[in-house]
Formats: sequence, C-alpha cells, structure tokens
Amino acid sequence: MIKENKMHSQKTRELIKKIVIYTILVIISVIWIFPFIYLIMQSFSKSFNDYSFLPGGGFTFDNYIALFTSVEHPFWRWFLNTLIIASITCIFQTIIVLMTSYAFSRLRFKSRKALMKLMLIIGMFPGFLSMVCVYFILDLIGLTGSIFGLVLVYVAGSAMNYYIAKGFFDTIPKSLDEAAMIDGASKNTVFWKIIMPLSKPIVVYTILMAFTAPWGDFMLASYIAQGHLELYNVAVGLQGMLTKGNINQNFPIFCAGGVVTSIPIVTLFFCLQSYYVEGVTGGAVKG
Amino acid sequence: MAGLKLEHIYKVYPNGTKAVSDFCMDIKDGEFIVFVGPSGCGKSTTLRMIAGLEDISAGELYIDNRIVNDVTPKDRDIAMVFQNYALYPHMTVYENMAFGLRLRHLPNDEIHRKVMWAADVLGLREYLDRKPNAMSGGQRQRVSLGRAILRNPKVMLLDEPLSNLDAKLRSQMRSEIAKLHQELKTTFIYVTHDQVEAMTLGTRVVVMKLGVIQQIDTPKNLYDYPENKFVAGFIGTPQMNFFEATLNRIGDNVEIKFEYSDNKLTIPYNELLKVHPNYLDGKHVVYVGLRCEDITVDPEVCKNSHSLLNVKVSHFEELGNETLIYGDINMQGDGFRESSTRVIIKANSSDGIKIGDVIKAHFNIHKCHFFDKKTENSIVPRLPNDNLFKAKCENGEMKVLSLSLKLPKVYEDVKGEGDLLVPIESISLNKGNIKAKITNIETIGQTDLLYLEIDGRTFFAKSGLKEFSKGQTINIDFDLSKVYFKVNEENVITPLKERDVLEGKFVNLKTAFFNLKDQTLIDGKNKVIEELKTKHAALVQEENDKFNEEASKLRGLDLTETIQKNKELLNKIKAENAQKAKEFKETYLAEYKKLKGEHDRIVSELKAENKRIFDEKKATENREFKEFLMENKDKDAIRKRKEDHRIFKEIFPKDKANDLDMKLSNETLRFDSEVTTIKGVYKRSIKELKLNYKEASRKVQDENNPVKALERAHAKALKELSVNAANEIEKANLIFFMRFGDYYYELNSVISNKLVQGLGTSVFSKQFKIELPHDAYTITENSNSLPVTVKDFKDFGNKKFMIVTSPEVKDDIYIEVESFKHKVGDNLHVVVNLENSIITETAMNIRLY
Repeated sequence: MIKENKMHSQKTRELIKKIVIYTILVIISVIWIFPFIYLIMQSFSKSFNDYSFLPGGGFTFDNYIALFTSVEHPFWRWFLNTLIIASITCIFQTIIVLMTSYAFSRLRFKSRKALMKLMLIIGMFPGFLSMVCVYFILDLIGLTGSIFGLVLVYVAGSAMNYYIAKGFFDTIPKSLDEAAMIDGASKNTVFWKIIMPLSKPIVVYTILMAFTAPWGDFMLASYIAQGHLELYNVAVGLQGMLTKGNINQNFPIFCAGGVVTSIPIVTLFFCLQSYYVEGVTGGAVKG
Repeated sequence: MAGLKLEHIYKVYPNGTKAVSDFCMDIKDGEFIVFVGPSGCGKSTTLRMIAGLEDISAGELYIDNRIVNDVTPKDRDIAMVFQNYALYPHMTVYENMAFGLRLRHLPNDEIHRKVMWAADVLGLREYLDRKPNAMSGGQRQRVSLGRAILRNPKVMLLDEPLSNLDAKLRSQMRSEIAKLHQELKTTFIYVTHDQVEAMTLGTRVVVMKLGVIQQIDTPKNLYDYPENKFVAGFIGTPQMNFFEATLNRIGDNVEIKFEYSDNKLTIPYNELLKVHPNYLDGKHVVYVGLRCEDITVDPEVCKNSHSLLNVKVSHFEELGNETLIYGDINMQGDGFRESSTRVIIKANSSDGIKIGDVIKAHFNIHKCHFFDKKTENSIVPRLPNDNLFKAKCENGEMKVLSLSLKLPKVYEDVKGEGDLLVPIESISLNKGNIKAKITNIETIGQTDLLYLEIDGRTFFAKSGLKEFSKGQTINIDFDLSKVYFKVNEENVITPLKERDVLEGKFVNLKTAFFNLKDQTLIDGKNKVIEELKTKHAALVQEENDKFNEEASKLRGLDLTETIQKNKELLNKIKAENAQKAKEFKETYLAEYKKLKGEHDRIVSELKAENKRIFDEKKATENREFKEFLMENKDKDAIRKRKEDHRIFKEIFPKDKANDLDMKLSNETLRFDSEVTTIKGVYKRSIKELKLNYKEASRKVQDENNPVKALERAHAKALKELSVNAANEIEKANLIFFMRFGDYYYELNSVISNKLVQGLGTSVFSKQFKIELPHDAYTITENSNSLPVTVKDFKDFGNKKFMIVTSPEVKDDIYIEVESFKHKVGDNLHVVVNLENSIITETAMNIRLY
C-alpha cells in the first residue's frame, strides 16, 4: 500500500508540473499574440478607440482601401520600394554570405583566422555608428536619394554574417569536397553542385535573415530617403503617418499598413519553415 | 593503369613537424601496395599526397613517368575511396557514380553503359535509384568502389575503406577488393592500420612509423625477415617475443646469454654467419626475437632438443583451437607486463600445466631474429654489408688468409696486425686474379648474394640475378680504397669519403649581377627570351595559316542540304523523345497505380488483423476479469485484480495503436522504397532523353556551321599557344645561382625548380649542404670560380686525388685527377658541376636534389 501511495504522489507531482508549465506557456503566448490581434482589430475599426479591443465604431474595410488609394501616403509605392530593396538585398546577401562562409570553412589562406575575428568584431558595432560616413560615401558616388544606395549599404556589410553558415559548412565532411575534386569538379562546381543541395536549411535561414532585416529597417532607410516620400520604405512611411498630430485619424490606417507589411514575412516563414527540420546530411557519412 | 614513382617525398607542416620523411618507392603497374602502420605514421598523408589532396613539401611524384607534383587531383587520373565513403547524399546511387563522368562531358550512352558495368561488377543493380542514406555500410562502400572503378583510373587509392564496417562485413569486402584487383589489373594503393588486411591483400607492404619507411617487402618476407624490431613486433599476432641477450663466439659455437635470467643457449656459428662480427664479443646487448609459434612445450620435441629454456608459467589465454601460454624466463618475473623476459608460447592445449609451474620450452633457434639494442635494426641483414678478416700488413703488402695483396702507394707505410673490414661493394667479381669458390647462392629481390669460399673461410659478395651458378670458381678482386683496417682499435686505413661537403646559398639573378657586375648574364637571358618570342610568333603564324586555309575551304561549301537534313533529324529525335516520354510516363503511372493498389489492400488487411487480434484480447480479459470476480471472495486479491484490469484498460488503446503502427511502418517503408525506385527510373529515363537531345542538337549545330566550330578550335589553340609562350618566357626569366663565398654557380632549371618547389620563397634564406662527387671539378682560368690551394696528393693506384683547401669551404676537397701536374702550395681556380650532387637543406634536413 505504501508503494502505491508513492506511485500516486509521483504521478500527481508530474501532473502539477505539467499544469504549471502549460499555464506559463499560455500566458506568454497570449501576451505575445495580443498586440498582433489588437493591430488586426484596429485595422478593421471605423474610428480609433484606445482602450477597446474590438473594432471601434463597427467593422469596416475602408482603412485598407484608404491605405492603397491615399495620395498623401503612397503606401503602394513604399511597399514596392521595400519589396525591391529586400529582394535584391536578399539575393546578393545570400550569395555573398554563403560564399564567404564556404571560403572560411574550406580554404586555408594566410590571415584567415585574423580576418574572421576582425569581421566578427566589426559586426558587433551597431550599424548607425557609420551613418555619417556612409552618407558621404554614397554622396560621392551619387547614390544618395536612391533606393539602390540603400541596397548597396545593406549588401556591403553582408559578409559579416558568415558565422552561422560557416558553422554549418564545417559539419559537412571535407571528404565530400575531396571526392568531388577527384571526380573532376572545380571549387565552383563543388560549391554549387555538392554543398548547396546539402545546405538547404542554412540557405533558407540566410534567405530569411537577409529578407527580414531590410524589410523592417528604419534608421538607415529614413536617413537616406531624406524626406522624399517616394523613396520611403514601409517602416519610414508608416512612422510618418503618426507624427503629425493626427494620430487619432490615421491610426486605423496605420494598423492596416502594419498588417499588410507583415503578410510577406509570414508567408515566407510558412513556406520555408519545413526545410529547417530536414536533416539533409544523413547518409553522407556513416550514420 | 600505370606505375608510380615516389622520389624523396617529404611532407612538412608549417609548424615544422615532418609527417613524412624521405619516402622513396617504385610501384610497378598492377601491384597491390598496402601502407600499414600505427596511427599518425604518415600513411594517409602519403596517400593524400599521391591523390593531390595534400601538397608535396619536397620530392617528386611520378605517375606513368609523368611528374605530377603540380597537377590537380582530377588530372592525375586517379580514383579514391574514402573511409567515410564520401557519397553525395542528395544524389541517387546512379548519379553518385555518374557524377565524375558527367563532369568530364562523356556522351550519355557511354556513361550509362559504364555505370551499368560497375553496378554489375559490384552487385548494385537493384540499388541504383536509392539514396545513400537508405543503404547499409557495406553497400555504401560498394557504391564508393563503383564510383572509383568506372572511371578506369591509372591508380586506385583506398584510404582505410573497411574501418567503418563490422568484422564479418569487413572480411567479405576484403575478398571483394582482392577480386576487384584481379579483375581490373590496376595499380591499387591501400592504407590500413590493420596488419591482417595488409598481409592478406598486399603484393608488397610498406610498414611505416613516424613518417619514416621501416621496410618495403612482400608479406611473407616481412614476416620472415623483418629489418628491424618495429616491423618484427608489428607484423604477426600475438607480438613477437623479445629478449635482451649477449652473443659470445666461442670457437665454432655462439653462446646466447639472456639478461635478467640464468638461461643460456648455444648455437653453431654457421647460423650467424651474416651477423656483423662486432656483435659476437659477448659485450653488445642485442634483442633476440622469436615468434610464439617457434617456441614449443611439446614433450616429444623437447626430449631431443638442445635448446631448452626454463619458463615460469603465469597465465593462459584460451583461443579455442589453441592456447597461448604466458610465462617469464626470469623466475622472479610476473609474465603480465610486457618486459624483455616475458614469453608467449603457442600450444595446442594447456593440459598438464598449472599456473606457477616451471616448464621446459624448446626454442627454435633457426627462426631467431637479432636486433641491435640501440638502433633496433636487424644485425642479421639478408644482405650483409661487410666481411671481416684477420690481416697483417708489412713491406707494402697485406696478408689476408693465404693471399698477399699489394697495397697502393698511400698505404705503403702501414704496418701491423689487425682486423680488415671489407664492405661487400668493394669486392669486384670476374676481375683480378684471386680465385674463390661459390658455395651457395641466395636470391634476394633483384640481387644474388654469393657465398664465396677461400681456404675454408666463407664470405659474401653481391651480383646481379643469375650471373653465376653454385659450385663455380671465379676470379675476384678487393678494392683497397674502400676498406677499413684496424690495428689496436685504431683505424690505420680508412676509405675516402664518397663526397665532399660544401655549403652554399641560393640567390637570384639580380643578386648575382649586383655582386659580379657581369653584363653577359643579363644579355644571355635577354637573348633566350628573344628567341622564344620569335619561335612563338612563328607558331602563331602557322596556326593562323592553317586556320585560314581550312576556313576558306569550309566557307565554299553549300550546306543547305545538310541543314535541312539535320533539321529533319532533330525533329525526328524530338518526336521520338516525346513518344518515349509519354510511354515512360504511362508505364510509371501504371506501375504506381498497381503498387498503390497493393499497398492499400495490404494496409486494410493489416488494420483488420490488428482489430481482430485486439478485440479478441479485450474479450478474453473482460471474460477472465468477470470470472475472477465471481469466483474469488478474498478482498485483497480482488483489489489487486481490479487494479490490474484498470491498468489493462488504460494501456489497451496505446498497445493497439503501437502494434498497428509497427505493422504499417514496415509496409509503408516497403511501399516508399518501391515507389522511389520506379520514380527514379522514370526520372532518369526522362533526363536521359533530354540529354540525348541536347547532345544531338550540339552536334547538329557544329555540322550546320562548321566555320564557327573551327573558329572555336582555333581560338582555343591560339590561347594555348600564348599560355605556353608566357610560361616559357617566365621560366627563361628565372635564373638562379648557388653561391659559395664569392663564387656563383648558375643552376640549371632542374635543380632550381626542385629547390624552389621544395621550399617556396624561403629558399633564399636557407643554407644548403651540397655533397659533390670527386669528379665534379674542373680546373680553369676563369675568374668567376672557386679559389683553392693545393695541400696534398694521394695515390690509390687506380685513382689519384689532389687534396685542396679553399677559404670558402670548411673541409678539404678531394679532386680526382689523372696525373699530378701541380705542386703543393699552388693557387688554382676550379669550377664545380652540381648535376650529380646531393643537395640538402640543413635546418630541417630535407633532401631536395
């Protein structure tokens, strides 16, 4: 009988533990999801209402229509700007990051370690420290007041994010490269035909990082746009809606903008998420 | 298929560690070479250097008589099998094997044929469309082998291919590799740390330790004639027994006295003829090695034996068919520790022997090996180096045995009685007038060892294979410039050193010109470059002319007909392909449907079976439970039974689901793999169709526009020519000198290439030791030369030497001359010739030339 009691108490303890953990998790997720739901709700409301969770003044789509038709706030243009900037940056940054990481992982050249450390340390400084300098450089090559200036700034520093991808490449056995080299592949062929297909998870990760960073960037974007409405990206544009003391009037439209902005990122995440889990290297070596 | 030659190969890492030192080997076509040694002995590094995955620090590697030091792995025509297989996980087996051929742009049908051939050889046909992670270790390694053989490489390199497999699979794959070697007749180089693999597979085995070759020989010879203690201990399990002992020659017998023990053995001197006589003085400690199968405790053998030793038994190791008896020849020893008195004996059984017993063991002394304690080298070499005689010198004559030899002029004053050491090389055959009888001939590798006899004394000489026959009497001569003569422990006759040693530095043209101010150096270089340029221009002109001629011929042709024909051909192929693709798809779909149907049927059957079994189980339990309650009135028992029933009910659904899952997962796995197979076949067929079309269209393009194809070839040829010219001019620009003090010797391209290749740019900051033969000097009037002063003369009868000193050189230089023209104290100038010299880098001791 004593034994049974012990068993019971063990079970109860487990149960209590679980209940506590799940309660905490539920609370956290509610806290996290609440602002987003609030945003969605507000974007459907007719008038701004601070303390109401439900759409104030009834449910409407007008905010979305206003968002895309307003002349004062050319959201459509901003959205396109951001998409162009993010896409171009994403493509170049992904390629540069992966190639840098591969080089650091596989090639042995002089000052390799020093270079790696240097890049890591420079990467730790916040980007805005160099803003004035960057502005002057862009001015010199005539790219101020253009979204491509922004692209250039984003892409230029991309090699500094080599660290995670390098760690991944280090786990791919070197003998694969060697086997391919003996089979007659050049370094280039090895990279594109052997390493890339094996690195889907890290490629996806790099793409996501390269896309989201410029998508939500505010500081550099507002600095380089120099107040030209047609050069804004969504973050700068949306922020601009709220500064003029007409918060009450614009807030629902701002919320609608927020919802629209989040759509591409969410889609991207959902599409590419499955690759995260895929353990592709299985079978390369004894496993 | 080709031979390999490795010449003085070194691998030195940037931190100065030498992974491989002075690796020299000749590998013949079709040999199976095994590199074996403990981990970290440089065997894999050597293999990777042959493959081109690792740079060669110094030395030269030839594959098929072509130097390949700077050739990339893909152009060396080698194939390699890795320990971890190194299969591309995202490709199917077929693609894995075809990858290399695709990169070489082979026609598609040839690739297919080769892959199928390799798959047949290795029994991989059924797995062609699987991915590597769906295969077992043995199968993966087979794919890896397949990938290697289908390229038909000149050399197959295998880097511990079996280490990742379990014992049973390993022996199976071992015989498959042996079979493969027999079928392909390619050169195999195989790296392993497992001596069983080495002994069973290799035609020759290279034993390595700490980057240095210990011995290269056939497995049999390694076992029977190990050259040093390491090889003796490494080959054979259990390890060879080693004892420390001294050898003392007493008349016609030699007494072996074991250290740390009272045991002694006496053996006839005939057994130890080849032993260097220095070791038979009873003072030198040597290792005596004897394998455990050459010691026996069999009473029948022991009864008639003269070489019995006392052994104290410490423990046994039963192996089933035989027993290893561990013991100690030192009665105080424990027999567990590896010591120089521990002894392992192989016996049929341990019957009648108890732990602690002192037993008699027979040592088979014919099988004994002897090693020097310090150098650990064998002191019974198969090819002995020296012969030792008692000799006496007086009045310019030397008396050896019953012979009397005339001493050369230099040694005329030598007197006394002592030991004469005659190196085996200094005995020349079929010369002179000393008669000797050949009593025995032993063939060792490419040489014959002759046992010669004069006055009942046996000594050795070397000859080529089958030059002489046993019983023959031949003329021999001793070369007295190569012998040592010792009187009272003092060398009174020592041979000349074979080479003089000079120290030099490596400098480039600019430095040499700066110091010499000799305009001819620069002019000579410029002239050579000018010549090269003219030659190149002529070649380009020729190529252009050829192109113009052919192009004009082609331009005149009317191609409308060909174009029309080709267009029809392409269309026909396209239509055929479309038809075939459709057929493939239909077959695929039909097969898939069939499989799917079967799969569904099996799944539903399994589900039904699962339901039936578990319904039955549930019913039984319920019935039993009810019956129990009805029959039993004990309260505790009922409670217990109730609890059991509750648990049954709780786990019942999980149990059922698990069972179903297990059954289904087997089936799903089967279905999936079948589907992957047919899908793979389908995909591959479609891909092949596309590739065929692509190939055909490329060919058609060339036919339709032959001028363009010709232009392409022409551009390629021109580029090649210009690259060649640039290379040659660059080479001509590089002139290097070896500097001895103020004397600059212009190095030829072979020497300077080797030095630069070995050391890179640090070549300029290193010191070099140059060993020159005595005939590499010429006396000259040229001022750019080595100033020397004559010191002495030596006359060896057949050779005359002038000894000179130089301020630039530490030691004396011996110059071989025809006659003595100069006087002592004369100042002369000599130039040297480095072509036959040995050049070594002094700091790291790397032989470069």
